[in-house]
Amino acid sequence: MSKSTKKTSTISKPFHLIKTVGDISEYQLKSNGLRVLYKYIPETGVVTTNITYLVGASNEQNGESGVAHMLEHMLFKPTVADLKNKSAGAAMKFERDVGVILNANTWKDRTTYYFSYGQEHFTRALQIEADRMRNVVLTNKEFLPERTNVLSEFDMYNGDPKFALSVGLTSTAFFSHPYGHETIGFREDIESYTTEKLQCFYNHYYRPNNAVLMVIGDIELKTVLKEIADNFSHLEPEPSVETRPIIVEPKQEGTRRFAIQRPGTTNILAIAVKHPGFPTSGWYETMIVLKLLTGGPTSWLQKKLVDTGLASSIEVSQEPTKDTNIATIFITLTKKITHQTMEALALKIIRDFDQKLIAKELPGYIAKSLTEEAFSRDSSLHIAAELTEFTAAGRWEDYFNVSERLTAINVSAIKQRLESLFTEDQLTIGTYKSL
Amino acid sequence: MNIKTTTEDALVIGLVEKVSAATVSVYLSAAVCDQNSPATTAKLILFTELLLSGTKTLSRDQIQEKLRLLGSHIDASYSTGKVTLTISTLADKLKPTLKLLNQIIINPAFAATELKRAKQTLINQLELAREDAKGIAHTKLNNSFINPADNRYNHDPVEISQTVSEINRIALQTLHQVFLNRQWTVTVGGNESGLKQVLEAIKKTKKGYQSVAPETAIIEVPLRQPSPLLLHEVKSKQNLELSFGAYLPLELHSPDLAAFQFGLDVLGKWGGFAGRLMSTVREKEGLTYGIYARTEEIGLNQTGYWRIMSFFSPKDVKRGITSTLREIKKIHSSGITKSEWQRFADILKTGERLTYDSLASTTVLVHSNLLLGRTWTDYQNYRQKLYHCTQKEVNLALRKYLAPEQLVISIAGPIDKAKDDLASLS
Repeated sequence: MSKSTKKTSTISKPFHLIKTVGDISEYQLKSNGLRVLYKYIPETGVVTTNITYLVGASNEQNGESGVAHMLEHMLFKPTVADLKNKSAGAAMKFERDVGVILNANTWKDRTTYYFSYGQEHFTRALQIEADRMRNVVLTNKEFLPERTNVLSEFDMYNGDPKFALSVGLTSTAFFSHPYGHETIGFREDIESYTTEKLQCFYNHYYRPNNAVLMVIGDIELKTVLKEIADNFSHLEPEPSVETRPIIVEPKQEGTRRFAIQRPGTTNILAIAVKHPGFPTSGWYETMIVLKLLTGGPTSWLQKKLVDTGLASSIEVSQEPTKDTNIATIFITLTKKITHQTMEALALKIIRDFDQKLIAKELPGYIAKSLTEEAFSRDSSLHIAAELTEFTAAGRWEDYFNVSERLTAINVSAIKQRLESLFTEDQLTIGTYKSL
Repeated sequence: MNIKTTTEDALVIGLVEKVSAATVSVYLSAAVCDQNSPATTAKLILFTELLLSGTKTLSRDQIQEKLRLLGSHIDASYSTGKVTLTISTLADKLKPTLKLLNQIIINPAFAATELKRAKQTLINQLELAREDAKGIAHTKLNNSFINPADNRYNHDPVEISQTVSEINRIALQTLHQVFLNRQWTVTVGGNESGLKQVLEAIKKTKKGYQSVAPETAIIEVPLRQPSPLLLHEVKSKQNLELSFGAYLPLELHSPDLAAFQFGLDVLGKWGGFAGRLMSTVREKEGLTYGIYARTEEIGLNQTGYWRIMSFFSPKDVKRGITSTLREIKKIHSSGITKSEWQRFADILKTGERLTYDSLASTTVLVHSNLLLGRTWTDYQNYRQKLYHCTQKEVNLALRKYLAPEQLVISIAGPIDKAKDDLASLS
């Protein structure tokens, strides 16, 4: 055994080494189950730490939609120690003292907090994450102004017709599965939160055995493991914390519909389809199908709807969620066409696909996706963001399989995917009409 | 990362070298428009669209097919009278991508059928701008301080639409000749071999053409006393989008710019939570989700304005504006504190350092500086000046240039829902 291996083995004593894939290693803290993903990027002087809790909007009950996101905001508020020191929330103070990049985001399956900073601040970043995992003080004094901010955030999104459509589409597409509401929740639910409700959610889910801490950047393994052990070992796990039970969405039997009307001038048709979860082959096939339809100036819908002056623009959204979710094509209509005619025309274009065209265009869309993938791994912050989605889906090692997944896609798979995605028992149609 | 800027063979060049980079990004810009009008805006938009819509030997579909097979992206856009081509590719696909770029630049077809399509698409897209409340609030503020003939002025989408039909193939071909013969600013981010290949290819493409530098603009002064409150109704929105600002008589090399910039960052550093406005208007008072400040449209020999961007719900708009004005007046009269002065020097340094973690962000930073007329050395000198401003210099600059008495507030959104509160403000 070499000297350096011996050293690593001593410092890694508080940890199990779970596995190493590519240049990322996964460790688990023996005392409480906290998982750690580590990737070394030398000579940048910069580190990104990202802690992802395996709890998100899909863990919420009816009437408390958006509570995971609300709690995310509260983790920037003072902890017991901060109040004792008469200080602001330590994360905010970290930015205000040093200028780190910090933020957080909540999604269907996860809640993520991150800092990007000069390597000399590593210990401070960990201290903050460890402290706010258990010790944020949830009082009305801090909560009520922050709730107003969240309502303001809700109104910001809700002013966007596509968001308003998404709220309706998800609710209409899912009868039972908890992906049936947007992450920010319904305004009426946000207005009814209490600190007790937040505390209950916090106590249960913000535990080391429900979190994955990623350390990406210019910092040595020895330091990483020592500091994590020093700062996180004392935190108590919650033995009963569980990932939510598997919920099978009842079979859809026919197209589901949703309509919204508002003052203004915008008219949109939204076509939503259910697709397999991330990061399965089916998820990537859906991505390629959506690129064939909408990805770029000569994609099928762009050519037949935008170039002909029937639509002003076409956009698409597909989320990397663990379970089956909806992907949506938003078609903004010009005055030349009604929603009804556009729906018939768009679906006809999609369903009358030309297999030869798929064969011709597929290699190009795969090549473009591979390039986009390379650009998305441009910095420690970007790498952590991408790794987060694989981690939340429970398969971080698939971060290294993107190229393999994409290059395995063939014409037959795309043909089958196209045929299965746009059937009546998969579709949810939304219309946004301006009055 | 190794960064340098230079002028070579009449090209203004930025090089951002990262040894391990597997990707290459290229930005190529040329200032092609000396006078701004709705028609020149329409012409520029159509020009960028038509550049990618076919060459003398390749159709639009064939260009896109070639790009797809390479996995590369080539985009064209315009801003403030400049056309910019953006190329992103894997390093091993660089050579054929550059070959295609050469064709796109040298031999665009400007086919009549493509022009007809692009005109229709442009008119439809301009229609969508009518509901972009955030953009409208900013544009109306911007246009309070900028001469309509200046490239930084944003013409009304309706006026631009009305001129689209006038643009013909000859106008685009003439603009193409201007583009070819203007000075090009090229910034490349990638590994050593990538940088070398790009420079060789661009020099070859440019060979035989002139390299006319853009005319140096004179220092602008506001043409008129702007209205202090600008309102624009966008009924479909939930929030009121706001842009607050005032004319700023500073240009890129003004000695006071760094000190003023430092003070404005203390007030509302763009992004994150560090600025005073985020601490008070958002965190303590819960009136908005985000509120930030920065300088806008300052350039070489060009003055601009400073701006705060935020949004408030109609019921909170009066409180939001009152709180924002309170913070502006407070920093104007009392300046920044010693603690803020010390902290923000560190905050600004960290911001620069973190940018270099990303090759893409660094490449964009270098290119945007070159377009402003600032070399990398100039930029680094400016940053040093920023980090070493004294508290007294910052406070003097705020006192001299913030000019709260000249503030313009531009609001777009559901104005009708807040009409009483807004009436009481005016």
